[in-house]
Amino acid sequence: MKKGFTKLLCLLLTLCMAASLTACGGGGQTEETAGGGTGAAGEAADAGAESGDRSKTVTIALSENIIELDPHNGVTVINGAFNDMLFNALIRADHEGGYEPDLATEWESSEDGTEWTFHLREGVQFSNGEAFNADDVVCTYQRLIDDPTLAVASNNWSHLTGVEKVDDYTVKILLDQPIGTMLLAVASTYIIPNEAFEEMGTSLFYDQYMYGTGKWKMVEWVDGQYFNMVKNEYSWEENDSYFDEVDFRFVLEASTAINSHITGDVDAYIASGGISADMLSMYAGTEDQIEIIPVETSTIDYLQFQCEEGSPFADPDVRRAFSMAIDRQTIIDNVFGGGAIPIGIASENTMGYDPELTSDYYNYDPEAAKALLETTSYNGEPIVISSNVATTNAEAMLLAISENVNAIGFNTSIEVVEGATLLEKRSTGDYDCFIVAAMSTGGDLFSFATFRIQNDAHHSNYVNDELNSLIEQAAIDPDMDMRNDLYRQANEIIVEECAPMIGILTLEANEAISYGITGIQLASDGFFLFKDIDYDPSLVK
Amino acid sequence: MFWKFVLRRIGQTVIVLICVSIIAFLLIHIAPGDPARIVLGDSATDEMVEAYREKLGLDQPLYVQYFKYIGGIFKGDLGTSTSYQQPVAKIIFSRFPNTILLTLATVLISLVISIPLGIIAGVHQGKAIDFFAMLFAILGQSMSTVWLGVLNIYIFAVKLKLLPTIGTGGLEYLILPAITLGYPISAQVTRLGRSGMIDVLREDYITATLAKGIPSSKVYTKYAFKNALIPIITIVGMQLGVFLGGAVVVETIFSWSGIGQLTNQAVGNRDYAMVQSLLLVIAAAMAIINLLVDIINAKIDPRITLQ
Repeated sequence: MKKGFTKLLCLLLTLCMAASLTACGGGGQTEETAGGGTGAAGEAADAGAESGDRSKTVTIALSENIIELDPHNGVTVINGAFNDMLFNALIRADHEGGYEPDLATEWESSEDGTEWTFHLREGVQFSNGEAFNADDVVCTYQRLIDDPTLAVASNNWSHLTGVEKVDDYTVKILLDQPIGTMLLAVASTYIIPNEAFEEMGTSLFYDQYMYGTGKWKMVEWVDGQYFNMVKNEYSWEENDSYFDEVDFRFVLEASTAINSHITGDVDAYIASGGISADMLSMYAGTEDQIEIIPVETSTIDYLQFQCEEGSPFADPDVRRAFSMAIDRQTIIDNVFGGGAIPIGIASENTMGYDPELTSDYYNYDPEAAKALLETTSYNGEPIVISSNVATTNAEAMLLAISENVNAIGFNTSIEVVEGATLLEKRSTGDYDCFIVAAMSTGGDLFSFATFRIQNDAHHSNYVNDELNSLIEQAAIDPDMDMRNDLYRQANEIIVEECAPMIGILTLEANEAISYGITGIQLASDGFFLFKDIDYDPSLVK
Repeated sequence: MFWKFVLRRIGQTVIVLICVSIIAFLLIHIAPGDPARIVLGDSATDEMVEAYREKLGLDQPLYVQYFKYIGGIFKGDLGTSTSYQQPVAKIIFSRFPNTILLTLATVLISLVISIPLGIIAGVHQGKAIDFFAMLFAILGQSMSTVWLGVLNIYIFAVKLKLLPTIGTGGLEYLILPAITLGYPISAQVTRLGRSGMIDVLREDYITATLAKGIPSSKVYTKYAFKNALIPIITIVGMQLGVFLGGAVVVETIFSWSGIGQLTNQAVGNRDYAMVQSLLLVIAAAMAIINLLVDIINAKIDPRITLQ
């Protein structure tokens, strides 16, 4: 038996040695190439390592998987990032409220804002070699008219009525009424190749051809694992990036992503909504390799009340007392480790923000809140504060708020439910109040104000004709200054009425990027863009 | 007798799969959350949501939807995913090889360690090796998989730089997830092997064979081990089925895109076709493995076919 045991030990030792040797190979590779990537990307990494330079592959860990490849149906920040690399729209948003020419070099609108003419760039090719012209634009926009359930259509183009080819390099987009977010809508609509789409239909996307005019082209997507891109040799834009390949890895577990970054398996960890504040301490000791970049975002966490007749929150003073009882600054400091207090639905990076606009209802004053609550008919009816698991630090935030408001006489409890369950509650109005995060693309409040307030998509049952009228005007006015003022006025009403929602906090997002990696744009509207990713060895410490 | 037993078990497996298909269908439809609303988002009007429900066939009575789904399965069509907008079968079977690979590696690692350890501990009851084996088993059964996974990454990837943290490809990517997933089952099998050996070694026929002068190593491996094997095969078979259903936690920690992660995502998105099909595939895997386990056990101990 002793002999058998010795044999077993030998077997185990051999297995361990084999594993270690294999692992040493892998470890050596990643160390040498400073995050040169794994799997498919690893081969490219090896090539770079052999030449003695930094790998020509950059590997980025993302906190979300991509599941929708259709550029007209995927509207997550990950879709935004990939579409921006693979495709072009007629114009490009800088995600700070500005727009620049992209596939269109010039554009103008009719006086009434219902007819827009775009002059197209010549000499552009898709990544399959197909030449770009007006037919591609017509094909793209006609698709949105034909299928209004596509996310890009339903989010942006409910008033799109037609698209006309004027000549090979001029198109007209026709609307049944002017829309204030016209430029944002155009910038969100990526142009697909007409001939390839006619031939393949949606296989163009789902079979991973993804022909676009962007600086990068797709190599391979493996669901839940990675998405690789290489330089597009047909790109009309000069792509002098140091990197030949960009390898995105989907790493859903934050601690794994951070460990991967620390070991050099990845060069950056970009988390949707930022890396949770309590996880940042894992980066301690890597200050000379990795930079933690704080981003002031326009994403706000807001609390919406159920204002229907008979609900405690039908009374504005109950809502105001509730708002005044919340110690926002303590929640920001203790639960989120940074951020700011928004006013109403506007943060510093969105339209409608007015630094002069202040409100007592946003100042933590439990005494005043208690006194105000006592003047109302609220009599301790139970109130549930709901949120979903996708909201950052939802449970801690809800507990803090519940404790705050219970201290002045409210009777609240909390529930943090799955996203789909909260969506169902919101779509039927079956809630007392809920907290979720909302981001405003390009800092434009159109989507938030139109869908969540004017259309009351979440059934708050709050009706204010003056407020709705301001939002309606802002939605159709093409003048950005005018729209900003209209949203400011709307925000003033929202703050005064504490309805249908109150702002809780503006999130500060932290992202981690290794020194030397440049060109990653972390926009304040929550988007992150990699189109211009590059490498600068002088920045490596 | 043996083939009658096999046919009866196949019949039972078919009934189980029919029941699972009904339960899976009802559960996901009962859960709150409208897939049309999830796909279309906040900006969609009630009319748009209703039109989309109609497009997905969700406006039809439940039994009609169920029979359409079952009818599709017989034609090889598991439906279209509302989140991927692609055939469900394509998505599931793109991930299934990863799950099978992880499952096999996990079972292999856990058996290589636990079977010899359990036998040696059983034979040397009360000795140092027995104490070591039990310590190994108790630790394995007490540790949280999440903690073990993160700890493994920290030690072997961050500190020792021996293994990669994420990815798939070579053997090196498989080691940490397989160890993390395999340790608890390894601990369980070690305990079972030990107690099985202790019980068998007390049997009269073992005493008799030893008394005849047959070498103890032959008695332990040829006679005792075979009889201690039945509960081990049963438990490994069940775990194999569970692993084929996906290990959500380990898959998430190691970014291993398998069936577990997909199921979690599909439930969150209320992707009806995907959830129903995943549950059915998982149940089928579980049922087939149970069937194989029963057949193997019946081969080892023919008395089972009489029960």
